[in-house]
Amino acid sequence: MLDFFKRLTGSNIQAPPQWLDEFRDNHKRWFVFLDKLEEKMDELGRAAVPELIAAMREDADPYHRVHYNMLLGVKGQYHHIRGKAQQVFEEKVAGFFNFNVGQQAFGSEFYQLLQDFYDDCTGRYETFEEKYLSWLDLLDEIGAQDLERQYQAILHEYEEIKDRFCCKQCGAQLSIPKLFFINSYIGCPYCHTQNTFEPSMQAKQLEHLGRSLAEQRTKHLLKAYEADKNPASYERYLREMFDEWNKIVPDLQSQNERFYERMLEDFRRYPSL
Amino acid sequence: MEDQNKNVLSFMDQLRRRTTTQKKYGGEVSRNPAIMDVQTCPSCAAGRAKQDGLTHCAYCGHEFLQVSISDGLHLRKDDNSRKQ
Repeated sequence: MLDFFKRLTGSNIQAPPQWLDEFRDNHKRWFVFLDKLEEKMDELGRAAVPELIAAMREDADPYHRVHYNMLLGVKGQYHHIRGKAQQVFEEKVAGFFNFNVGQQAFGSEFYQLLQDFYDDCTGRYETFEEKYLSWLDLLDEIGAQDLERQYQAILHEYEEIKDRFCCKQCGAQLSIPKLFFINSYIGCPYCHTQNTFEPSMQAKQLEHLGRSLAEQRTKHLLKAYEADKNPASYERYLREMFDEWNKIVPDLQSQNERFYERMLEDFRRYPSL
Repeated sequence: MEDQNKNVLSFMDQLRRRTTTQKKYGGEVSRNPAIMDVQTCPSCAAGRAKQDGLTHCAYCGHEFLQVSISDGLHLRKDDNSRKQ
């Protein structure tokens, strides 16, 4: 913490302004207040994470709506906590600073004092924000972990059922040639009847989880881009992400490639987006 | 501190109760297994074979589909029967 309170004891201060008491008070309270809010976030996170994991694992609903609703509720609490911090910051830090700084001569002792106060409080606020964002990331991570599990379950199911079907017309054994996620005709090699294969509810989810899973697998590349802000890093991320997506859902490769071209073009045209 | 723990726990209890008991928008979704089916021709009872296309019966020419097939993931324009 900065030593600006010590500086107030110097003999060069002639007429201390009236806001000094409020200034000390606001500074102290702001730090204590954020400590308490962080403590509250930690408590909430520690209680919510096991519940969210359990909701994800135990809910038979393929869209995990119980988990999703619970996640929204928990995130709502985090938003509420952050809102409180923001409100107090605007009132007791930014508001106080803006109101008083205009009355001080630029570069004077008290002007600098207020400036240090503002910088110190803002620094603490940034630490709070980082903690808030790290909790939200952790909560989202729970859903992301499940995508991999879902994908493995789809692959496992395909391996189990691919040779289990017979032609409905002549009874010959049929083999499902690849992982279908939409209805498809399977021709009988003996009687040439076109059997209609309808994938399971689980396999139909493949189309929807493909992109999210690919994004999750290549998240480290996106983070690398966010760190260095080098356009080449983003283009590398985009290519890797689409390669991964094509590996997960090969049937959609040609559609995905068109989407890739468009995203790349958009990025090159509007890099700030 | 204990009060705060209690509040958090009661909030999570309440949230769990609400999310597990509330009616889901769109209703329940059943986990249907994969199935194999076949459509037989209502005119000659033959299985739906593919000879020159899928829109008409390969044996008696009965029209299975009135619409023509366009390019999709597994079906192509070529799958339209040529004999009309």
